[in-house]
Amino acid sequence: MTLGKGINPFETAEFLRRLGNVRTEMAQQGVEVLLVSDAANITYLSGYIADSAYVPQVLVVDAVNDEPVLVVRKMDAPAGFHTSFLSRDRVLGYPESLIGNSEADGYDYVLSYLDTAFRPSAIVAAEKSALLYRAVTKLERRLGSRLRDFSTRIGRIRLVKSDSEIAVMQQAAAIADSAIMRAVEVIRPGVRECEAAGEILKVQAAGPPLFGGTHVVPPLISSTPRIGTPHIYWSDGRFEQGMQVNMEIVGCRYLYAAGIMRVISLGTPSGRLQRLHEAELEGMISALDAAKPGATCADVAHAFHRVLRKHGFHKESRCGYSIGINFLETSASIQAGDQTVLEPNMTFHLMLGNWVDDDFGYTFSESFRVTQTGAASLSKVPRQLFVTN
Amino acid sequence: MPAFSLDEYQTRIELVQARMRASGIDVLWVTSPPNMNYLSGYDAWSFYVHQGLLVGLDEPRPIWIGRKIDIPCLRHTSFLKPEQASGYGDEFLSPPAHAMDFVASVVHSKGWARSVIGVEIDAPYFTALAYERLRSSLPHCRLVDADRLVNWVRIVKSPRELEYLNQAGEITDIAMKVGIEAIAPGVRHCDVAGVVYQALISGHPEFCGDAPDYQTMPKGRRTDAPHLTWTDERYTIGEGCTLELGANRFRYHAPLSRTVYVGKAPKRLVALSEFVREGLESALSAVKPGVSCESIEAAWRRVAARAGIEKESRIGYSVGLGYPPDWGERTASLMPGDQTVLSPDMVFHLILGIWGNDQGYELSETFRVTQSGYSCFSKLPRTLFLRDR
Repeated sequence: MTLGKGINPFETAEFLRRLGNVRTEMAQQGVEVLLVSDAANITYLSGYIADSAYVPQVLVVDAVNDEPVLVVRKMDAPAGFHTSFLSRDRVLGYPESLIGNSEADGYDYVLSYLDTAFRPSAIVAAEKSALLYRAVTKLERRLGSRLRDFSTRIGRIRLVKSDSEIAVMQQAAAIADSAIMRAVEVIRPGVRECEAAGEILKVQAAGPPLFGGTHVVPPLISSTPRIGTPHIYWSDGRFEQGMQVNMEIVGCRYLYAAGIMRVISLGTPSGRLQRLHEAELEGMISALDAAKPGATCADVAHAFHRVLRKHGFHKESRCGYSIGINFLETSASIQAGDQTVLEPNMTFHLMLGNWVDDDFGYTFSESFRVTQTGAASLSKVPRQLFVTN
Repeated sequence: MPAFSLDEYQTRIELVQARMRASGIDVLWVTSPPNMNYLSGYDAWSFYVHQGLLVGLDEPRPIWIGRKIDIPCLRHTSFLKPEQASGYGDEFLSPPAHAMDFVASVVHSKGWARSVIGVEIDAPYFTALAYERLRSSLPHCRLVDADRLVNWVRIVKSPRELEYLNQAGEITDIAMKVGIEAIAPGVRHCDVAGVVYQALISGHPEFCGDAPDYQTMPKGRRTDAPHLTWTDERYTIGEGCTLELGANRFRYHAPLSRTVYVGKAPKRLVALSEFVREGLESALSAVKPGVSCESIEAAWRRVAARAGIEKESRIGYSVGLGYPPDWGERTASLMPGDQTVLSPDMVFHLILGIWGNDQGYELSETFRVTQSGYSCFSKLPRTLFLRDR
C-alpha cells in the first residue's frame, strides 16, 4: 500500500485539539477508551472521508495516545491513511471474511483489538445513537458493566466550529449559491425537470470556478402540484407556465455542508404566495437579528414565529438545525424548547420551509454563522421570490 | 403516483405476511427505506428521521408512521392514503421526546400492545437507542429479530421492476460514456464528476434518472481505495481512474464499473484487464437457474488463480431497490459459502475490483438470471478505456 497523504483542509494540530476536547469529556465520564462509530464524528476526529459507513467502522480514542486508531474494512485502509491525519500503523483493516458473515463482523475485530491494547478492566464507551442493536448486544456481552453510552456527547463538541471549519463551510455555501443561481437560469417552462436537476447537480459537483464540491446531496426540487411536499425529487415531466418550483440545495466541501432554499415562480405568483414570501422574508430578518451569542435557539425560533403570526401565517416544522459535517447535526434545533445557548462560530441552517397544506408550501432558508455580536449569513443569494416570465 | 400497480403492492404485502406468519410475528415494524418503498411506494429523502411501516397480519394495508410534514410526500408517491398515516410533530425530533414513543402509541391504539413485533434489528437507521426506546415503551410486547425478512422477498424481480432496471441500465451506460469521454489530461476531476452526475439524471432523452447515491470515481493512486469520491485535482498523463456508477429509476439501481487510463497503459495493467475480463465472462457463463451463488464466484476464482490475482472480497451481490448508504439488497452475495440458488429474474451486480497495487482495476456488470443463463443490462465493451487527448 503506497497511497500517500491526500489534501486535508485541517492541520494535525486541529485534530489533536478536537481530540483533546473529547478526552476532557471522556475523563469527566470516567471513560478510558471510546469507540466512535458515528461517521461524521469519525471524520471530525480523524479527517477520514470515504463512502464506507455501510459496514462497521470505528475510531478508537483512548486517554493516553495522541493518535486514535481507525478500524475499517481492509479495502478501505488505504483511504483511511490517505484522507486522515493518522500514521499508517494507526489504521487497521479487518479481513474480508467479516463481511456478509452472520457469525462475526467488524466489531468482533474491534473487541479483539481492545483486548490486546488496553487493560482488561478499562471502562469503554460507545455511541448507541449511531450503533445498531446487534453491535450493542455484542459489545454488552463482551464488556458487561464496563460499557458506557457516549451518545450525542461528541455532537455537542462539534457545535462550535473553528475558523478553518468556517472557511470550509463558506466554500460549501458558495457552491450552494452557484447551484441555486444556476437553477434560476435553467428552470423555464418547457424544460424537463430532470434536465434542470442535472444542471444543478453538475454545479454542485464541479463547484464555482475556484474549487469543486467534493460530494453531492441531490437537490430537492418539487413543482406544482407537489409543492406541499418537503422531501421528494424531480419528476419525469416538464416545467409549465404558472408552476411554482420549490428548491432546497446543499453545497458540500470535504463533507461540510451548507443549505439554501428558494422558490421560483414561472409566471406571476399568486397573492397567497406573495403574502407568504413577504411574511417569511420579514421573519428571516427578525430571526437573524435575534441570533447572537447568549440568545437561545428557542429565542431565534420565537422571533420568526412572532412575525409570521403577525402576518396571519403559521409554521409547524422546526426553524432549522445546527449544520456541519454531513449537513444536519443532531445537537441543536431552532425550535421552541431548545435552550441551546448560541456561541460565536456555531453554524445553522435557518430552515423556514413551510409546508402549509397538501397542495401548497414555500421554501426559504439560509445558512448562517453566529459571530461575536450577531449572525452572518453564509449566502449571497438575493432574498427574493424568483419570478420568471 | 406510485411506481407499481396496486395489485403488485398487494402481492408483496401478502408474501411478507406469509413469512410473518411462518415466523410467529403479529406485527412487523419496517424501517429500512427500500423495504418501506417496496411495500408502500413511499419514496422521499426523509430517512434521516425515524420512520417506518407497521404491517399487521390481518390488515390489508400497512400503517405509515413518520414526520408529519412528510405526509404529503406519502400522498404523492404511495398508494396508501393519508388516513393510513400517523405523523408525529417536530417535538419528537429532540430529546427528551423520541419518535419511538409515538410509534408505541400507534401500536397501542391499534390494540397490538400484547403482540409479537418483528423489527429490522440490523438495518441501517434503526439505531440501538431507537430499539431500546421502543422496547421500553411496549413492555407487554415481545420484540423479535425480523432483519432481512422483507429483503428476501425482494430478491426475485417482477416484469415491471425489470423494466425500471432496464431503464436504469440505459442511463448508467450513458453516464459512463459521458464520464469516460470527459476524462483527459488537464481536466479537473470535479468537472468530470459534474458531467457524470448531470448524465445520471438527465442523460437519457426519454426518462429521468432519480436522485443518485454517492458515485465513486477515484483517480491515480486513490484508485487503490474503492470508496473515495473526487477532488479538485487535474487528470495527468500516466494515471488511471475507476468509475463505479449507478443510475436509478424509482430507486431501482443498475450499477456498472469501468477503468480508464490516461496515456499509454502499462503492459501490466493491460494484462490485468484481460484477465479480469476473462474472469468476469467465466463467472457470467456459470450463471443459470439452479446453480448456487458460490459456484459463480468459484468460476471467477479459477481464472484469477491462473492469473495470480488475489481477491478476498466478495464479487457481487443482489441489487435492486436502494437508498443510501447502500444499493445492495443485503441478501445473497456471490462469495464462498453463499448457497443461495439462482432463479430466473434475480438480479446481481457482479463487480471485480482489484485493489492493492498502486493502480486499482475495476470491471463490473449488472445481470439478470434468465430461464437459461443471464443477460446484462449494459451494452458497453468490457475493455480498459484509453484517453490520451
